Parts: sequence; structure tokens; C-alpha cells
Amino acid sequence: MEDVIIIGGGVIGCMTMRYLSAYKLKVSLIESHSDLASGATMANSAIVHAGYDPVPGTQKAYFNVRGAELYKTVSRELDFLYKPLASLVVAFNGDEMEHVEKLYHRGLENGVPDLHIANQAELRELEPNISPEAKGALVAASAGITEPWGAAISAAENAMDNGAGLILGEKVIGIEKIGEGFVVRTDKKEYKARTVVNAAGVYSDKIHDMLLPPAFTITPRLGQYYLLDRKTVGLVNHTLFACPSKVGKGVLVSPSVHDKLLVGPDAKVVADRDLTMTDAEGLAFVRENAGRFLKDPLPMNLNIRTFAGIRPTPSTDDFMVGKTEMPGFYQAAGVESPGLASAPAIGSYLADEIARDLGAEKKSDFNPIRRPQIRLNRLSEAEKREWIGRDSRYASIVCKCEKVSEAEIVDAIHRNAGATTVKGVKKRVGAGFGRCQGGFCQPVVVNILARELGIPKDQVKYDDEGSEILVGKVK
Amino acid sequence: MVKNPELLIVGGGSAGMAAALSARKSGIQDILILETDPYLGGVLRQCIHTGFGLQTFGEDLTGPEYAGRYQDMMEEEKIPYLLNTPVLEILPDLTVLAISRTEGYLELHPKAIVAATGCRERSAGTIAIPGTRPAGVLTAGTAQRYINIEGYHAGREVVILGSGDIGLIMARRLTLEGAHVKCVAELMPKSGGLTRNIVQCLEDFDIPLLLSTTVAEIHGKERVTGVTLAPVDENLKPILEKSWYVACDTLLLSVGLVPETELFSAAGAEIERGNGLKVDEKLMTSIPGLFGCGNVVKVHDLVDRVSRQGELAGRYAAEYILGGK
Amino acid sequence: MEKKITCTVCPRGCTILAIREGEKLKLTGAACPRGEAYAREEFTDPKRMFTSTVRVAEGISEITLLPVKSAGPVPKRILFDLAELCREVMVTETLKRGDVVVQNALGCGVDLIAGANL
Repeated sequence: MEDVIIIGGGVIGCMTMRYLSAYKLKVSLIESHSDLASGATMANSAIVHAGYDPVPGTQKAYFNVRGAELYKTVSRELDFLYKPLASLVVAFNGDEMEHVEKLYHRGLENGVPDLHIANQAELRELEPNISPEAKGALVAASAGITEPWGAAISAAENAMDNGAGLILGEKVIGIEKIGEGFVVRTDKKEYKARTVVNAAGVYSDKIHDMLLPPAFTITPRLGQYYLLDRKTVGLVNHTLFACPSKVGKGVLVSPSVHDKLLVGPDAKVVADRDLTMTDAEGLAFVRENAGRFLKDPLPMNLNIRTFAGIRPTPSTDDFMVGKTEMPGFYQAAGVESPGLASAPAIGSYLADEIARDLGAEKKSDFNPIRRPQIRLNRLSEAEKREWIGRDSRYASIVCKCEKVSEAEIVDAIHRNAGATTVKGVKKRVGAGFGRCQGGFCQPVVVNILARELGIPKDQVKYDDEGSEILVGKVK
Repeated sequence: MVKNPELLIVGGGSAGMAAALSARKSGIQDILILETDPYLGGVLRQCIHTGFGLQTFGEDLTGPEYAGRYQDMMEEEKIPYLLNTPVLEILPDLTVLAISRTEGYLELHPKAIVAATGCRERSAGTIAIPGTRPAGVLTAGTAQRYINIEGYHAGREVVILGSGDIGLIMARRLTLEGAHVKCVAELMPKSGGLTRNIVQCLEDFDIPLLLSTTVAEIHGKERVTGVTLAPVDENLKPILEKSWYVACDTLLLSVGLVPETELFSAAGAEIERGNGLKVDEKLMTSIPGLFGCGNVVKVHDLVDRVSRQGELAGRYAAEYILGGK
Repeated sequence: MEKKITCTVCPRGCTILAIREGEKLKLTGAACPRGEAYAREEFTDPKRMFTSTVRVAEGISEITLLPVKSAGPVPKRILFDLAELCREVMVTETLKRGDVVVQNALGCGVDLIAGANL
């Protein structure tokens, strides 16, 4: 019998798992995909919003502002990539300046720190490439950029280091309330738990409806993005948003923690909650609207990848975080944007609630610190010398574009919540994230995975079940 | 302990080896090649087809044979090289920072550098094909490595986009090893591949070459299940009303090569409009003492021409060093 | 019987029309005698260079697949058979570039030779 079963291994589920692992509770997380961070967490704008956008009084406003603040410490504890970086909402005319002022006041009401409105001169200083027609901008200095899947995976690893369990590749197909607890049935097994947390992202309505009468629906929405080569770094210094206009929300341009530029998204309601695909129309929309803030058009020909991400849009327009009508059943449902920014706050809030309800105390030996992840390409010269001296595999560069070494890949495979697939390696160490998109390194990564996992090369998968890269020996 | 060479060559492929040999011939004793991979010869190792060396050796050699001949000459001349040694950074004063599996962290100060890093394939990401991102979409060169070096098939039912030579060569190679190449789609009205390859790689095996045709969408969740092919209009945009579906488990891309210039552009070397390193008539880049040759300057059709340019770069670099500039 | 042949002798790629009239072969469209000779062979018994790989027994080399090529052109019609042969061959000794891997492959009169040193 588990004390808590969390359903969903996105950034919300993983953060909840991590904060719960600080308590004397038996916690497990069930994820339907073969790896964590496979849904909305995998493909989004990767921005830790400051919190000026949500309507005051909503859960979105509450968790966003607290979450953004928490990133500063939790990213250090878990050693995932995060960088404080101001967000700018750029205004081009009087109407838009009014909107910026509205956001400013909303931000103050939500408790967002370090907000101000920049005039044209200041805006130009902040963003030398800004269009001369831009009039001013809201500057939210408490915002940041991060690696969403890194946040999720590192949180799960830390939770496992503190005793939590992880069940991958099992899809929850039914939950029953039996006595004081629950039986959670997956497509493979059955689990008993005293409490259940619904953090199922685009499926959070379906999980909810397994225990309670329907109360809300989730509409899956796709957003498409371009990722531009690191040569474009410096064209934009901050995360730039357009004011929403009659023709739509406009696309954002943001530096990424991987030293690239992210441009997007569009927004489109789709039927299939699992199928993330780009389409010509959406990509054209992003291209055409890209960097309308800027003096010169963005060099979209320097893109290294286009992708689409799914997000769960709730019919309630707000998160549904906390207890439900059913004792023991908790949820973090309908967590769309600013869900990433809110994640640590939601996780910490749910953990405290559940622990209080179950009467659990904190562990005296909880270790909030994840063993640091060595990232060769971010080390100083002295550190590089040191790590290569310790393990010569740090001098063996597998991913030429992002300068990722074999030692980093091997480490990522053998950690808790470790990589078992090529995409899993990519998520954890960035091999294949660069301009050749794995053309050079994928065969080497396949070999390392096969060796370290003790499986034949043609059983190495790209991602989920059925995504084997190789289909058999030639001879 | 590695000591500072007079001439440092970045890349031990066909351009780098030719540059080293000719620099030696021009009087430079102290040469060092740094190679990222665990072998010399670069991509030649996996190019097991013939068509190499007709100009250089007057013989129809395979890639490994061509590379092997140069390696033999390197051994004869005792030209030192370090394998498994990627260069991390080059500074405008020609300081080279590299890491080597055997030698550790290296900081070298050569008098001249020859850039011979070759090129890479354009990826699926770059050409932004609409659709899903499943397993089974890979570049022709990656598939070539899987089949010729690793000994594995990357797919059974294959559509190839792009009729560059690597795509054509792979169509034949896969067919001979038992895969079914359904067609080669080419965006342009004419193939960029050599006539010989169109005849011997496609026509010989009745593989259709569909000109002015592109992949309009990739299908499949975990693995490719098919692609939508469509003819293109005069602006190269797919005409979706005329599109059709082809079931396949693999999409191979042969959609162009890009010079691997980033190491040198980061040091401040200028880039030519065609995306290669900009060099003067003596193959020197905009950084004094940094020379360029081979596919990092311009993507060449024939390896023989790469070697020829490597030779020139080696000689010019030697003259630069001996001139005491 | 007639056949359109694309000449591969040089990059010019002439289209040569070959028509058999009784015992004689009439060739039109070739810009040079080499092209004509090529078309003649291409019409009667086309030949190709063959390349593939063969497995190397464990413990011989770091290379697990040895590239091989035919020492000269072989009849086009046996390419698939040669590929099949290469799936069965296993090298058990340390070969050098140019060494014979399969003598007189499938009796075609041409050897398969090693393309690299083991």
C-alpha cells in the first residue's frame, strides 16, 4: 500500500513527488510514457512567467508568482538549467501601451516583484534590435527561462534519491475508491494507495472522471515553434512578448537556456491528445509573425528544428489544484500556462496538504540536493581539466554540436530516473539538441545505450514503445 | 605531453591529410592533426562505394581505399595526429583549445592553422517538414553509417527525399541489402546527383525518381508509418490537392550539405555567402594564419578536388610560416 | 529491340539510342567513341563495380564489418547474388587492403578484395 500515488510524470507530477519525498510517506509516480516529461512539459515556451498575466485572485495568479520565486532555489538544489531573464511585453501604439499599463497594475495586484514600464529610450537600450516603432514595454525582471523537462526529471530523481518510486510505461485505466483508500489500475498492474494525485495534464479530466462526476473538460491545444541556431543568440536579449491584438496573441521570441532562440507558438485546438505534429499553416504563421518586434526580420533560415507541443486548456479557465470533493483524491488539473512557472509552488502546496491530511512528519534525513550534473560545455577551463583527469570519458565528445561527452551520457543513464532511450539522453544531457540534430551522434548514443543497458542495438528506442531506431542486423 | 606544433590542422579527413602532406613537402616539420573521431579519413570510412580517386590516383577507389592510401602516406611521412581530440575553441590569436582522450586538456599556440572540418548534412529539423517527429526519419549519411559501419538496417520500406549523390548511393546500398526503396523525391526539376549515380543507383533497380516533388507531411506516432508526397509549384510550394500517401517506415533525407564552419566563425573568421569559410586566393581566411580547405570552404562534388585544395592550403600555410609573418 | 541508354562515361550524360537490326547494333546519340563502346556493352551485357561489406570474426579487429569491392566490373545481373554472398562470408584472418576476400566470386571471374586494413 502506497501512501500517495501521483498520476502523471510531467513537471507538476514530478515536483509534487519531490516535495512529498521530504515527508515520511511512501510515494510512487505512474507515467504512461516510457520517460518522464513526455507531454506538455516536453514542448512549450520554457518560460518562467513573472505572474502579471493571470487574473488576480485566481489559482494561476497565486501559484505563478510563488512558483517563479521558488525557481531560484529549487533550480540550485536540483541542478537543472534556469536563468533569471526579464520578460518584456512590447507595445507599438497607444492602445497597446494601455494594455501594458493594465498588465503592470495586474502584476502589482498579484504581488509580482520588480515590475516597471520602460519608455522607448530604455526599451532600445535593453533591446538594441527592437523596431523603431516600438513605444515601450512592460519589464518583468522576476521572470526566467528554464529547461522544463530538466526541471521535471531532476525533481523525480531527487524524489527517488529520497525513497520515492517511479513506474514508467503504464497507463492508468481505472481508479476505484475502496474503503479508506484507492485501487489504481493500469494497463499492466494494480496498485493500492491511501491517496491519489491527479497530475495527468491533457488527461486530467479523464482521470478526474474515473472517481467523480464530470466537472470540467480539457481541450488539447497545439502550439508550434521554431528553434534557431545559436548563431542567432544576441539578436534578442530578453523574452519578448507582443501585446495581444485582434489577430491573436502574437508569437514570442526568447533566448533559451541552451543558447538558441525559441520562436512561437501558434495555437490550435486539436482532437488527438497524444499526437504532436506541426503543419504548414502553423509554421507559416510563426514565420510570418516572428520578430515583428524587431528592426530586421529574424533569420528564420537558421532554424535547426520545428516542433509542436500540446497544452491542456481547462473549461474552467483556471487551474484546479488541491483537494477534491472526495477525501484522499487530490488534483493539479487543467494546469496550462503558467503551469511551468507554477510547478514548484503547486508541488510544494500539494505535498504540504497531503502530509497534513495524512498526519505525516518531515523526514529528518531528507536531502534536497541532487548530485550535481557535470555539463562539460558549461565548465571553466580548470574544471574541464579536473573532470577529464578524473574520468577520461569527459574528453570523449559524443555530440559535437553541443559538446556533450560520453561520461555525461553514461551518468545520465545510471542515475535514478535515468535515460533509457535516445530521446531520454537528449533530454538529460542535450546530445542531439544542436544544429545537426543527432545526425553525427545518434549512432554513438545508440551504441552507448545498448552497452550500458545491456541490450542489443536494435532494441534501443528513440522514445516510446515501438520507436526502435534500428530494425535488424544487415548480416 | 603535446608540444606546440608550428602548423595545426583541424580535421583528419581528406582535406586535412592532404594539407598535412603538402605542408611537410613544403618544408614544415612540426605538424599536428587534431581529429574528433577515433579514426582518420572522416566520412570516407563509411563511403564504401567506388567513384573516388579517378583524378588523384587514376583509379576507381572506394572511400576507405582512398582514405587508406592517404593514411599510408601519412605513416610514411610520420605526420603526427591525435584521434578522439575535438577542438573546443579557437581564439583570434590562433590559440587552440582542445580535449583529447589520451592527452587531456590541450592549449596550443601554432603559427598557422588549417581548417579542414568538412561539412554536415542538413537535418530534418532544418527543412521543417510538417507532421510528427517519430523514429525513422534520418539523414542518408546517418543511415549509411548504420548499415556500413554498425551493420544495422535503419528501415525496411524507405522513401528518400533529395536526389543528392548520398541519397542515390544509399538507394542502391539499401536495395542490395534487402530494403525496399519506394521512390526518391526531388524538390527541384532536375537531380543534383551525378548521371552515373542516377543510372547505376536508381535506373538499375527500377527505383522511381520523382522530380518537382516533396514530402508534404510525415505520419506516424512512434515510428514513421508513411509520408504525404506532393508535386511542387514554381515557388517550390507543395500542391496539396495533388498530393498522395506512401506507406513507409523510413524517410531518408539527402537534402544538402552545410560547411562545418562554426568553430572558425566563432573565432571571427568571415563566412562566404554560400555558407562556407571565406578565403582569399591563398586560401587564407579573414584571420591571418588561419587557412581553409575542402568542404568547410565549399561543398565539393569530388573528394579529389577536396584533396587538391587541401594540398594548396598546406603549401600556402607552409609559405606563411616560413615567410615568418 | 531498342533501348535508350544514358551514358555514364563522363558527366555530359549523352542519351544513346541502341537498336538491334539482325546481327548488327545501331547506336545513335553518342558524342564520342568511348560512349559508343559503353553503350554497346550496356546493351549486350552491362557491367558494374560491386561494393559491400563482409563480417569479421570476433577478436580479429576493432572493425566488425570489412568493406569489400569487386576487383573489376562484374555483370550487373549478379549484383544481388554477390550481395547475398557477402552476407554469408566471414573473415577469419587479418587482411590488408587489396587482399582477396573471395576468389572468383560466384565464378564470374572477378575477385572480391578487402577495402581496408584489419
